[in-house]
Amino acid sequence: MEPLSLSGTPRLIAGLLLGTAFGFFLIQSEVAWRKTMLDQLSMKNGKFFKVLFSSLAIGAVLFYFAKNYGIVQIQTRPAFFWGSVTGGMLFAGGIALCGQFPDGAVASLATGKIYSLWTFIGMLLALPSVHFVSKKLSETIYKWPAPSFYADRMEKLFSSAHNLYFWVAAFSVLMFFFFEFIQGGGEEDSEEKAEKD
Amino acid sequence: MLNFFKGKWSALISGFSISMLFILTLYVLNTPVGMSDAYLKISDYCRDSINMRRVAENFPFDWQTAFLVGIAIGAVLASLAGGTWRLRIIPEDVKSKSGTMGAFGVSAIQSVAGGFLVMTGLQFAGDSFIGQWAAAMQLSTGAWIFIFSFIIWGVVFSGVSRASGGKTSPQKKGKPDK
Repeated sequence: MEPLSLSGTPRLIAGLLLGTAFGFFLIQSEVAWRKTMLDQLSMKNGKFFKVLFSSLAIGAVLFYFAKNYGIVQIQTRPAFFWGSVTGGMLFAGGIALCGQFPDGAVASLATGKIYSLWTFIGMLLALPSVHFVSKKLSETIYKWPAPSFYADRMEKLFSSAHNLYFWVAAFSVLMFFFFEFIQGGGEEDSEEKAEKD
Repeated sequence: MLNFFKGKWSALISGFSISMLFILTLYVLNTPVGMSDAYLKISDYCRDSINMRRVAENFPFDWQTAFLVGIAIGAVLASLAGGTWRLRIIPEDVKSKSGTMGAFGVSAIQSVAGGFLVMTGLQFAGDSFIGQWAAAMQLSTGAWIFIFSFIIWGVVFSGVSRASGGKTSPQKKGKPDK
């Protein structure tokens, strides 16, 4: 079996349908709400990280089998060690301020939260700015040497571990229970809770 | 069955649905899941429109921008089904001593600055957030570093924000508006 690899109009329609499903999931899981994200970072409600780690646990196992049967192929963009570290830090700083990631802001805006438009404008303003300093970036963080143990694939990083996908899934399950026990969350709708408060 | 689509989902059901969707996307499109190119194209389109002082023709409609349009459609469907569609100009947790206009200004500045940092961080990391999410499933080391950097720094920044009197949650409200 091989991936479908649609092209042309079917690819466009598939993108629209997959996006519709994703938008639906973002709202049903509450991860698009600003309050869910802010409560997560202030350690009041663990819903966001629980969704993240449960999807990583299930997804890693699903991906392992799908890859072995040839249904999917590894499709990731190249990542740089210091780019990921500083990127995660800046992303976290932004989330602590606005409480939304790009796709969540699109979903939130579509549900009548007009204030998400400001977040979206901020995001669109960032793109030309990063493009403007991209040459500087290429000479700095993308060239800084990564630690000697670093490898772009985790299979290379932990080459001694047998079947790493299952280890990653097990770790993600542990993280899920960690956030479940220290924060709980999801008992009350974030939007309803905000209304009551 | 209908209640399933109306009610909120647990973390496990949400996680399962999102992971299935990422695998399906990889199967159907066979490309990295991230949307970073779509945001770049929309940004360029907006820049062209501003430069020409009219709406530019030929909106860049490919599978990535279609995915973003789909997100909006799916979100509307879910919020209408669940009864969560509400028009809001100011986030429910933002309060200001200067009243509604003050809260509006505070939320606008916070959101623009936050959005700017969010996208800058994603550009540094090389992909959009769902791209990092899907890449972590495929055991990309960079995606896992990004996720842990986000978790650690997110908790730190949120703590600093609360310690310095920032209002990030309704449980920590300032004085009520007069």
